[in-house]
Amino acid sequence: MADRYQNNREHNPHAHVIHKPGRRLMHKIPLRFVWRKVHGMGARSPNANLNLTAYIDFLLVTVIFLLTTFNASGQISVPKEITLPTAENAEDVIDAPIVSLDGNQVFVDGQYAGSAKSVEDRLGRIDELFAALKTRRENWKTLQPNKPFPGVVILQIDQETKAVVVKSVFQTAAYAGYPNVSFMVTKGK
Amino acid sequence: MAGVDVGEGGGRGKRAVSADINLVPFIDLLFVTLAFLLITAVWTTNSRINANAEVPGDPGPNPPPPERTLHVHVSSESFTLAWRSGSVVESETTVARAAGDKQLIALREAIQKEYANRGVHRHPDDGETDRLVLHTPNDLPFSEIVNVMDAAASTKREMRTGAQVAMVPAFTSTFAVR
Repeated sequence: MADRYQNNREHNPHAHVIHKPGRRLMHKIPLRFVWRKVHGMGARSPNANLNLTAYIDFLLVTVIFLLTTFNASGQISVPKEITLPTAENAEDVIDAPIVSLDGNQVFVDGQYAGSAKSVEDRLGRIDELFAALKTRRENWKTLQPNKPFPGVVILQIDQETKAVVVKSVFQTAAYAGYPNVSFMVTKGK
Repeated sequence: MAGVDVGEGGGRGKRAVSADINLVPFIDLLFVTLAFLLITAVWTTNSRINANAEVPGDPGPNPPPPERTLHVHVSSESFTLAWRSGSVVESETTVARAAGDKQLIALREAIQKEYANRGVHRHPDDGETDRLVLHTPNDLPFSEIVNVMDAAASTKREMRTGAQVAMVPAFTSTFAVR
């Protein structure tokens, strides 16, 4: 049946209902002026193709650049209250316990580790910070008994903090077995 | 729209071989990836400036002679740079404080000059670094401490690490706690 309809469309009652989409009408109608008008009267066609190649190239290059420069090493959250000082000759941050001083409160890797109120006027040791760091050092040695302990701690301190507090935290870290103390800074001039 | 054109097709009423590829989903994917990467990009990276609090161990029955160290005294008027061997002061230089970045440039140059004249560990095969002891008043803001440490870290020297020679900070900073 299908072949009969295809070969002889005049006998197919539904042949006019479904047509393959396209510009068939232009070819069937012998109106040359319509054809010329559609094609811009012999001039440039009104339908313009937008060349997307350059645009896609640009997007691809940007995406590849961003993917290759994607770096998570500097992604350490700094509390909003802490404004870090700026230094030019600074190194990349390494994986180490972070002691942050938020106002008077001291935190080790986000966990509360005492108050710095007692050292605001005179140099001293912060006992809770000392205990927290000592526990971490012992845990590290238990988990990795064959490796030498690096003894690195990173201090996250606001730029307006008084030197006596900075020195007290520094000294406490050294007493707790962390002699390599680094200060977190924002790199720049 | 992009297309793949391989000629006129198979003929005899068959489907054309040339095909259009819809690039819209591809561009959408690129856009979404680009937006994600731009949002999650780290524009301000944090860094660290090093200090050391190592205390010399027991010197034993025959202690070596005390090593020369550079002491930097920070006051409201000046920076004083003093080379000391134990309690003996070998030399002293004063850098006047000024407004803005000028004082830091002057301090940086003064530390570099002091190291060039009297630095102890200068050979690339020497794995040790000179010590810089920082003396600060108790109410000095932390940013000023970092400025001095930054000036000290600007003095670099060559150090052999394995087969390569790298530029490392010439001084290791520490604090005077008394």
